[in-house]
Amino acid sequence: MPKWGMVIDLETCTGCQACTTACAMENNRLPGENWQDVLFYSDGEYPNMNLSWLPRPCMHCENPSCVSVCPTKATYKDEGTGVVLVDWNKCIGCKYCMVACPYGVRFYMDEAPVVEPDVKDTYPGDGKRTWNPPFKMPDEYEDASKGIGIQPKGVVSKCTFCYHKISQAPEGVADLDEDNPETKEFTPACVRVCAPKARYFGDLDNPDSKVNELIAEKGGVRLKEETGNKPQVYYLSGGGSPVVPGKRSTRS
Amino acid sequence: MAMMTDTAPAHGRGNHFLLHLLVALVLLVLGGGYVLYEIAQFGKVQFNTTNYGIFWGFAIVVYDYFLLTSTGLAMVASLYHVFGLEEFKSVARRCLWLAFAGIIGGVAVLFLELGNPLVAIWATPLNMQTASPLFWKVLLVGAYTVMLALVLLGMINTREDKRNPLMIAVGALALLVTLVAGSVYGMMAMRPVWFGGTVPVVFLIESFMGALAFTVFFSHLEERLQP
Repeated sequence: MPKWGMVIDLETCTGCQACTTACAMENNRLPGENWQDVLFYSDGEYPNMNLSWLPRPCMHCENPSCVSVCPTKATYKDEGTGVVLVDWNKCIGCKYCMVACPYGVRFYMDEAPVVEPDVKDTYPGDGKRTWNPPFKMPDEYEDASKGIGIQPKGVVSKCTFCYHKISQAPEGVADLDEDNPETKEFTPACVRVCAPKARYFGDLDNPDSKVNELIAEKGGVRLKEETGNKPQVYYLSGGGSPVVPGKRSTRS
Repeated sequence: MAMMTDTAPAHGRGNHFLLHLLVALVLLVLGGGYVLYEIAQFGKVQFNTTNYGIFWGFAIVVYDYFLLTSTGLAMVASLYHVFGLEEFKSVARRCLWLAFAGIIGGVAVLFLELGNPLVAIWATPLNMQTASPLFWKVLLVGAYTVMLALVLLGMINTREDKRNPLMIAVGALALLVTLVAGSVYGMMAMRPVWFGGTVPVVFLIESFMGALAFTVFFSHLEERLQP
């Protein structure tokens, strides 16, 4: 069984946010509530300043604190893929997982809109759905037990590594690469659209995978190692610049 | 020496019980009605939480305050029922009724804030996520509420000063609920402001402070209500 992981090369990433947009389209995300976000930081004052950015998906940790704290086991680690998912049928909306996640990648939608005007008013939801976006994935992809589809009211959602795509990948493949016609359709949306090819997606348990090669050769690091969560998303910085924007940086 | 439980002087009292009750009910209807209207009209957006740091808002503060005050009141009552401290005999019964009111009020606020409160009732005990402090909190709060209700049911037709052995369980559960409620915050290593072993102790102190404040306030109120 694969243990899917991602490598993001910060030296190659241009901060274009195509990943954010593709994720929003693929996963019916509300504007501003991005499962895959790019955080921008500034350091210093004009003209002596530095702009840096950090693409941030869910880290799909090996030892996820969100899973440990969920009182109903609604958040769980999928054994077959190593992906952290949310069962919307069991989620009680207590938001303890949001408190416990060190990376801030979980989302509750019953809140004031991040982006005005509130498009939920323009495309109101029916039944349990929070809203009905004009763009949305085919209904047959929706699976509430894995947190895939249009987010219902009163539950927490998160990046699924495009579970509806990667779970259909041919058995035994080491990498899901958009340049490979055989794996293109099973590649997560954010990886597939990355124009500068800063993202790689593959099996961390397969020694022949490209992601393992990059982590080994370019010194891939994980964020907030001190929490013990052991993310399955690795960052490459080329060794020359800090992976995470400096502590003096201001989030813009 | 004057004691906390001493009654106020008898002179100058009036029988305003019905008036006070009426005012309390009007405030309850107005306040509760306003909250329910806001939630029905605008949804849980009115709780003003965000995905960017403020995950738990005022509703959780209110819930935890009333929960801790309730457990504190049960522990104050235990000082008489379990440990036999006569100084607390005259307020023990009142403390238990206030503890019950506190827990019902606190949980009611929590249910307004939770995304799916009805799912929580079955999904929490059935899924046995023993690693989560919130799982233990829900179980302990449930057991505490049931035991407290049993004690109060037994008290309705009995002598006020009779010590109840069931209060050993209520007192122990109240203490556990308080410490576990502190652990819900104190175990969050990724939230440095909350993290630490002292948080459950702080919760225990807050619990007693809230309980003593309630005891003093309602004892004075009761005395003034006497004809």
